[in-house]
Order: sequence, then C-alpha cells, then structure tokens
Amino acid sequence: MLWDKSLVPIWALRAFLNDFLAAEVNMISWNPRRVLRSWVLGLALLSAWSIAPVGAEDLKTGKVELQSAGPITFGPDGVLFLGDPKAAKIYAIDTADKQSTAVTPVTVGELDTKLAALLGVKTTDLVINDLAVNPASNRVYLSVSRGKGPAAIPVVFVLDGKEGGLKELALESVPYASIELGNPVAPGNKRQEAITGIKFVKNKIFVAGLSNEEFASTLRSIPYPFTGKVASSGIQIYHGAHGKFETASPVRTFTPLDVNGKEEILAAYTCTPLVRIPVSELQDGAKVKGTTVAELGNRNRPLDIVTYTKETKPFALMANSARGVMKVSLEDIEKIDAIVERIQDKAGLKYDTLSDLKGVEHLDKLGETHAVLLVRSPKGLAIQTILLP
Amino acid sequence: MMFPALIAPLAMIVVTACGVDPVFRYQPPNKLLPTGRFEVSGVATNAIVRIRDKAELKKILIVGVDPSLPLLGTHGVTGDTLWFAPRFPPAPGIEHKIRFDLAALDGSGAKPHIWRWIPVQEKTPIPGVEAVYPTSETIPENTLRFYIHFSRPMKRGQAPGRVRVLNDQGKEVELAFLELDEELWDAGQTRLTLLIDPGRIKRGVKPLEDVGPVFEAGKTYTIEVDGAFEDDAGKSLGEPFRKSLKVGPAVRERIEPRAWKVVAPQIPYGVLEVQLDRPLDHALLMRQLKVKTLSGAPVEGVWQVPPGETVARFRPFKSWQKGTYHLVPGADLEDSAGNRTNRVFDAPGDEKPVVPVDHLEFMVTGK
Repeated sequence: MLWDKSLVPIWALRAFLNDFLAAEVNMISWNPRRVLRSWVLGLALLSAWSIAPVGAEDLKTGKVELQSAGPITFGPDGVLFLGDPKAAKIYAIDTADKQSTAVTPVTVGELDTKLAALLGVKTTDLVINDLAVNPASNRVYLSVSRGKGPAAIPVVFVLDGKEGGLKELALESVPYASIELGNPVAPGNKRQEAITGIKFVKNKIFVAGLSNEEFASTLRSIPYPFTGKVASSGIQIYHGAHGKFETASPVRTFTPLDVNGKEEILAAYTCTPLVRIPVSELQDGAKVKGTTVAELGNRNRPLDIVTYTKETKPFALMANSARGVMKVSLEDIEKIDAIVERIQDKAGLKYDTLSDLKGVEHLDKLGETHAVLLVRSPKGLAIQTILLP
Repeated sequence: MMFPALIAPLAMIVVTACGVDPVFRYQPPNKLLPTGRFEVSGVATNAIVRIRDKAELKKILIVGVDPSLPLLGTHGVTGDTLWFAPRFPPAPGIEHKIRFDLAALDGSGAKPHIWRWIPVQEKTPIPGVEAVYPTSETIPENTLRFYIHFSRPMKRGQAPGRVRVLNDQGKEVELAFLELDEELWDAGQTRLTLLIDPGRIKRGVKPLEDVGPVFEAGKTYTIEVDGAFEDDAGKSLGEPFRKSLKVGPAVRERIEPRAWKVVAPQIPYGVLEVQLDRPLDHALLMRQLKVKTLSGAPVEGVWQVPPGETVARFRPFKSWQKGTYHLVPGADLEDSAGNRTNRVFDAPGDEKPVVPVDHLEFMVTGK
C-alpha cells in the first residue's frame, strides 16, 4: 500500500509535534497513551514521506500541448510515450486505456482516406509518423500530422472497434509528464534534433536522435518515471571491414533485447548492419562499442524492428524499404563473432525475407502471436495484421 | 405601444409558416471559437424542438470534405441556428460540403439543403531556392552534408523523390542522400539538411564497396531540386533548381584553428574577421564560434558568413574595449565533410584522441 503525501492531514502533523515535543521539551510526566499516540503518528508521517509513489501516480493532470507528434511507444498500464521533436521533449501520457481486450486481427483499408476525411485535408497533406500497439489493451495507436508545413497539427488516433473506427486521443485533460531532451530549439536558431525512435523497457525509455546540423547521432537512456536525468551516448560500431571503427552512425530503428539476462539494444544502422549495444554502457557522454551481428545488404533502409519468440526460439521482425519484411533469427546471438572482417552479403545472423509483404512502413507486435503492419500500396495506406512468422 | 413588440414573434410565425429556406454561413475564428463555426440559421422552431439529442443533430447537419466520413468536431443548437464547430481550422482551398437534412429526423419528404464552401487560400509568392551550402564550386569528394535554403516554408516528406544528384551524363546517382523518416528541416521548414549516406564515404565499409561513392574526385555533378517541390501552400517551384559542382580530393584532416588568421577589430564597433583554414559548415559557423573577454564573459553579437564559407565576421552589440579577447571554437564545429577540431570524420580505430586548441587570442587596439 503506497501513501500519498497529500493524504496525511495537517492535524496529524500538528498532533504529533504537540505530543512529542511537549513530552520532550516540557518534561511533562510520562503518559503511556500520549507516548503511544505520538509514536504512531510519527511512524505514519515517516512512512508517508519516505515511500515514493511510482508509475502513473507521478503524472499530473493537465493539457498536453504538442508542437509535433513523432515516434510513439507504450510503457506499462497504458502509458503512451510520444516524442515531440519540435519541443525537444518526450511525453508520458496516461491513456486510461487499460482494459484488456482479446487479440483481434485488425484490418483498416483506405486508412489515409478516412484520416483525411476526419481531419479535413487531402490525403497528400497528412503523415502517419508512427504506429504502436498498447499491450495493456491490444489497441492500435497512430501518431499523425495534419498537414506537412511548419504549422502542421499533431494528432494521436486510436483504432476503436472491430471496424477500425478512428478516434482522436483527447489531450485536453490527461495525466502526463514530460522531459526535455536538452538543446531545445531556440528562437533564431535553426538547429533541431530529429527523434528517430523511442522504446520502453523495464524502468527506462531509450530515445534515438539525429541533429540537423553537426553530425550527431545519439542514443539516450532516460529513467521512467522521469527524474530529470538523461544519459546520452555516442555509439562507436564496428562495420564489416578490417577492424576499423567509426563514430556516430545514425540509428534507423532499434528494439530492446535480453541476451542471457543482460539488457541490450538491437539496432539497425544506416549502413544496414544489425548491431548489439549493451545497455549498461549507455552512460552520459560515453562512447560505446556496439557489435555488428549481421550485414543485411545494401540499397536497403531498415524502417522498424520488433523481437518475438516462436516455438521457444527468438526472432526479430524487421520492415525494410527495399526487401519487404525480414525474419531474423536471434538464436545464439551472443555466439556470433563481431563482424570485423571484410565480408560478403548476408553474414552473421540468418534471416528470411517475406517478399510478399511489400510497402510496410511501420509495424508493432499485437500480443505475442501477431504483428500489426502499416502498409502503403498504390491504393493508399492500410493496416493489416499478420501472424508472427 | 405593445404593437412593435408583437411584430417580431408574429414575423417569426409567418416566416416559419411560409417555410423560408435556412441560411448557411461560416463564422470565422474568434476568441471564443478558435476554429470558427459552420452555421445553418433560420431553422423552423417546430423542427428544432423535435431534435432530442446530439446523435440526431449529427444526422441532420453533416459537414465534410470527403463522402466517406464527416469532419471531427462538435454540434450544437443556439436559438434558430444549428451549428458545427470543427476540431481543426478549415484547410484553405479544400471544398467543404455542408448538408442540412431535416428528413433525417422523421423521414419526412423535406429536401436536403446542400452548400459548398471553399475557405479562401491566401495568395503567396512562388517559392524558390535561395542558396545551397556549401556554396563553393568545388567540393571535397567526402562531402557529407548540404543545406538547401528556400524562400518560403516548404512541405516535408518530398525530399526523397525530389532532390537528386546527377552525374556528368545527366544520370541520377543512385541513393545519393540518406532517406530518413524524419526529414532534417529547421523549425520554420525553410532549410533542408541533406546527408550523404555515411556508409558511402567512410573508408572500408560495405556500402562504399558495393554501391560506390556518391562523388568521385575530378568529376562534375549537379544537385537538382525538382520543379514539383512544394511549399506549405501547395505551390511548386515551377522550374527545377540546379547547382553544378566540381569534385576535388577528399579532405581528411582535423580543423586546425591555429592555422586561422584572426584580424582584430578596431574600437568601437569594428568587425572581427576570422580567415579560416578551409571552407567550414555554414550553419555551424553561425553558432559555434564564441567571443569571450579575458575573464570568460561572453561578448554578444552577430556572425556573418559570406559565400565560400572561408571567412567569418563578427560585429558586437556593445562596443569593444581595448585589450585581449578570446575566440573560442565550439566542439561541434565541423566542415561539410564532418571533420572536427578533435577528430577526422572517419577516424581509424587506432587514432589517439586529440585535445584541440581551446581558444585563439586577439587584441583590440584603438586610436
């Protein structure tokens, strides 16, 4: 049972001080009931002030005024994490969407037409920045921009109901918290950092960012509930070549990974190697060495990645720009030697390509058995659900 | 005396009895209505009293831009007016259809009223490309970054198909620029940062070996911004913008501030001129060079970088005092190839980290 500071009434505090101090200072004769009362009150106050509230209790209700809506991901209990690159902030928003619903394959055709109709714009004037499934309720959320200019309005939608009804997530009065990423956009200053990905694991969120000026690709580790602490790292990774290593390659997409109990990040970089990064090394300012575990081929842009288990074996599902969706085996990932030698195509972890799944721009897991995909075809955008392969 | 007071209600009864058509207007945004309101007024009282709830209102008054779904917003009734306040300000230039249909209430034979309304689109000038950095005609083979400055705010999401590098045969260089979901614009969306895929620059990496570099020394290229590139009002450039480039050898050296020539300013508002060792990144020159007094207090002012990016000039807000000042290059200062004061962009693994010079001194003298 957790105490909330505000529940301890002032009268209790005063009564305690009165009894305790009176007994000590004024040397009033020892009264067992009074002493007992003062100690009980004392302990109650002590417990109220020392047990810190956690999770959703740290969020304060108010209006979330987004400047932009970028990547999204979910924490526990329906808490939505949203990156606002214009404000250089990450928001944690309590969606109050905690009622578990059965994992139901969801399909929405003509998603861009429907969103454009609700928002009152042309389909060419809206962008779906990200898709995430709330594991607490198995509902799909979309991070959307109404418009493509600098005054574009950020909106979060949730798919509600089997027919794929789209509902706006109201942000007028919600419990939320936010944290600044540092280097906020200053007036007259053109520097801005793009947030390329956010993921939550256990008690922290990881945020990947890329500056629009100096070549800086960061991976930040931020404890949640937010304490104001942000640890940033520049990552050195081995490329598939002669032991040379380079700094600061932009992270395209990443996912948390557990390797024999150790927390890691599995990241896909711009030069398309798949890299393992130990989380314990992501300290402020540290330059961390990642280990390349796969070369997935060039002319290819990794877009989104999730991990899952099928028949007790670990896999990663990755959406790519040119190669459809890849199913990568993560079995014995810790045994893969870091790829440092010049190598041919397809080195390291084994993978299969599901080439019939083309045009997948975003994906997320739905329960432990399915994946929801945002697919672009000549007809427009649609949401599809597949069984994890 | 009571006569005038009776006229209004009598008029109303006459009007409703004669079935005068309802009137549509769009109430523009104001303090109370931030997104404005679609209003249908002159609705018969006997119709209004029959509306039981919001759900019925939604069936009677439908405002949309597409037949598939109505706009997000809230409905209400005030007096003889049915209104709809849209969730967002109506987008200019898009046809809105307002449908008012009392038959939805009771299946009566009443004909629906349909109005069409297009919010006025402000006239804006045709957008153009103001500058492309680096501005020099010759760029190093390992150039990493370009900035394209537009005259107006532009739309994001179009760079991948609409900015390209052409070789001297006019053929597009495959995948020259890094495609990112989040395009690298500034907040006002007038400046676009384009990165060359670092994998095609860094020595000894797979993409360089497979696909080859984007630029090769000794050859000429063209950066082309497609005429279809649109600004935020939907207007396109019209004519494509082209900039020719000659490519010289790669620059793989740290920036060395000790090789700069600092021309000290004169009292009171003289210009401090810094002649650089090579062209540096335009955006970073504007904010990574700091001027400080001997005691470390910052000297505020404005930096100016003329074309070529080999010179930076500083004019202070307050007058100079006679004495020594420090010019402090920031740690993030780079050239267009990503080289910094403490390291080369693609440093080999065994290279020891370098501690760059902290500041350059200059003396302000006066008559």
